[in-house]
Amino acid sequence: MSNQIGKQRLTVSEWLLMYAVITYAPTTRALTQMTITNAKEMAWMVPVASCIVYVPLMAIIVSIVKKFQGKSFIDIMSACFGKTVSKILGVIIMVYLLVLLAMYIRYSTDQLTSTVYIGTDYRIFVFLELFAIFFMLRGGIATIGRMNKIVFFLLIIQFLLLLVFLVKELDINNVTPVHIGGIPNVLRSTLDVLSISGYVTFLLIFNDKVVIYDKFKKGFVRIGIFMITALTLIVFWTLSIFGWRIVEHLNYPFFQVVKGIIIFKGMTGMEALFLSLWLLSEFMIICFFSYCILHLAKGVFNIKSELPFISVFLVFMFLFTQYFCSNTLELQTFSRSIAFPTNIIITIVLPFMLFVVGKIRKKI
Amino acid sequence: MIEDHVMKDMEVTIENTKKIFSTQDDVKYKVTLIRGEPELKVVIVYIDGMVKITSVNEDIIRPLNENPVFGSVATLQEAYRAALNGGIYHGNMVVISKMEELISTLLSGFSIVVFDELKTALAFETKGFEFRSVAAGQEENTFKSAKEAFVENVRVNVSLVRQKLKTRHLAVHEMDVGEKSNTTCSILYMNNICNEEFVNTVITRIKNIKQEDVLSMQDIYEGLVEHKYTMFPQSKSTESASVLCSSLMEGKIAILMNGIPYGLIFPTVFGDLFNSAFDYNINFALASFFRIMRYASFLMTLLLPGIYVAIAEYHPEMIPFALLNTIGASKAGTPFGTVMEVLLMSFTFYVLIQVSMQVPSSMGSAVSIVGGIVLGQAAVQAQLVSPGVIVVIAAASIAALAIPNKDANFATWIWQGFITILTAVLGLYGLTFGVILLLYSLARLESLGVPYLSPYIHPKKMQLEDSLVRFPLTDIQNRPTYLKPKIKERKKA
Repeated sequence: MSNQIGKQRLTVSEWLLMYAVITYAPTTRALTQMTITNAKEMAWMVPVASCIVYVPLMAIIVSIVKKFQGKSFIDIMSACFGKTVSKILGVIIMVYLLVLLAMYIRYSTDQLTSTVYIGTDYRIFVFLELFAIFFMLRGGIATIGRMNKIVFFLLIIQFLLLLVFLVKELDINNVTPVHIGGIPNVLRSTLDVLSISGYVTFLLIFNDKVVIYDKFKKGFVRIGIFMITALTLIVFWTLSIFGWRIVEHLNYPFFQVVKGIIIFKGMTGMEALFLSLWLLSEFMIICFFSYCILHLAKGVFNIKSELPFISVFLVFMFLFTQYFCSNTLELQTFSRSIAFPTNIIITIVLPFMLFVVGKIRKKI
Repeated sequence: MIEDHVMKDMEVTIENTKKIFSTQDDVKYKVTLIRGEPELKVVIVYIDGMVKITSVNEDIIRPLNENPVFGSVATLQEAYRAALNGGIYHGNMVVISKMEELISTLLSGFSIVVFDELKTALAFETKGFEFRSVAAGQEENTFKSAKEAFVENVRVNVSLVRQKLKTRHLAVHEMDVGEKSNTTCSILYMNNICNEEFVNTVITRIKNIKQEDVLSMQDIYEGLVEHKYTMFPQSKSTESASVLCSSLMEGKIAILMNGIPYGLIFPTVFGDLFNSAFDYNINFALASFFRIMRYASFLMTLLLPGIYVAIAEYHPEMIPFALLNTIGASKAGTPFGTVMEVLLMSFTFYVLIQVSMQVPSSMGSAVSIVGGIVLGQAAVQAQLVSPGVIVVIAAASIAALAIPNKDANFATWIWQGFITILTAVLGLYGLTFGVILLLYSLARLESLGVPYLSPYIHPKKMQLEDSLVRFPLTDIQNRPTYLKPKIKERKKA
């Protein structure tokens, strides 16, 4: 079994859709609030403005993938930075991913205990999430990729339905005026978007698990366009319904937007159903980062297989999430003051550095 | 005990045969004298009931006495040569020199002619089993299509396929499976379309079946599938030759087995469970609508009881006030909570399903009456369960029957129960958790190496023209790419 799982490969589309799914939950949870801090009513333009960095970042990722087909992330870093630096960076990224994973687990469980399951012990949900993740990880990357693809389609259907249900609530006054003077603020907010859209860099961690075909660039272009469109729509809809002054004070603003949906003559409370689908994406994020950590550890410590470490790792995560923070406020502070800048360094600065050093050393 | 595996002269051979079949009275030994000459003695051995007795009389005994070829023979050696050269009328003859060969041919319906003083015998195919004639199928919808269904004889079944696919590319590979049962299996595929990997895998896996008796398709199925611990079927069984032929033309492999009036089709993916032969005999728009309905029914079966429990117990705010009022009124006076009611009714339904499968069809209507009317209506009148729950369980359970594949029906019902229990404990979170586990169990499945969720997870194309919906048949120009057929386009084959 372990041999079979070791040989599993992802297709390019499965690989890229993982990126789309893992960005869905953080985007719906926090993006609007992050972008309005500077950009106010012009926040919906921030995702498009972020293309100034996002497009070169995607181009860099594409060139790295093209050059290092079938190579692991550690191999890529070793080629550019040398063996020792790559191992040190590998450990740093791994530790950061552990923290990020703990953060996501707590976010998903806190979202449940603060909305639908008020008063329930969050540890029950942590245990259940990790229990499901155990099986998913044992299934291997191909299984995760296939599940992710189905989850992606479900999320798309849900997302489009949400947009349709909310059309009549849109108020254009909340997203105007658009003026030249606001552009510097929009540009300043692009980092907020990049801290999420930069997750594309994490795909490199299991670059060696992907079967790259000739026209794989097209896939990156498509997913890039899709991401920018989706991010813009989410911010636009949330902002347009509530206005930035209200959004500023809301907990999970997109969720609040969904709460307002009334369909079929009085059917409300749709948030519970939509929350179930959000949970699917949360499961995928947790699974994604867990796999990243295990795979990175495999590269850093030259381990033959990730499989024997899955249970130990998940037990560690269960304990770690309990001591990671004590409430939502701490979580949000942590995201803002630590996760946000570290995300930028690891997902944006690192690939740029990798590219520049690789070019200088003629490795890319 | 047989003294030697190599045949001796007639006396010893017959003696050994009698020892081996000492408890089988249906093994007959007919002594015949060629032309009535006592020195030209042969013994004909056959199993009564497995051979056509007229064939033994007319094609073996009569020529031995009346065929001019035997008129001039003076020794048994000459008689043996005459028989070998067509003196006995036969379509299939086997020369036997070992006792094992004698036993296996005898058990396959051959008649053995043992010559005195010779160490070899001749076996002539005189099979004459009784079998059911080809008739309309009982279990698959044959709306506007051929009515002929497979029978228990594998040769007849292969000939049904051959009648429909008159091409030299139809490959038929025969194997005997089961160390004791020696059941004949035929592996059918189009050698110019089907991926060689599938063929090799199937042959290797069938060869690896080490069971003593292979008497049901499940024996073959479990020997072939990668994942034994899943409820969802990884192959499709059909009783229709037309369905089997169209699967072969897609690039799949079919397995027919002697004694079983069904064919197994490999590989099978999730989408195949929702396709029916019916879809190809009606307008494409109707077919597409029905297919979508089947998927919707699948989701309804799987999730409706869970959603009802979650909404009623955990999120009543989701229900419009008027409906909430109705549900509340109907629940008034019932002793159990919604969860208990749903689980109780689901369990009752499972029991009814079991009963309807076990009882003879003549009692089926009685079961329906007791189950449907007495249990349902009486339960409501006695205020044991609320009408809402009965409607939900009935709708969800009947919806599963829209899925054409029976194995998938059962799997869906079981998953429905599992998800309902999870939802009862955890609300909508439990529902999501159940869906994740279901998704995981489907995503990890493969049938002959083909991902089970194909074509929906196909890297480049989902091939929607014949999956979730069906396009006009003239527009379905490619075979499913997940089968990696040798010829991708249908017209080129």
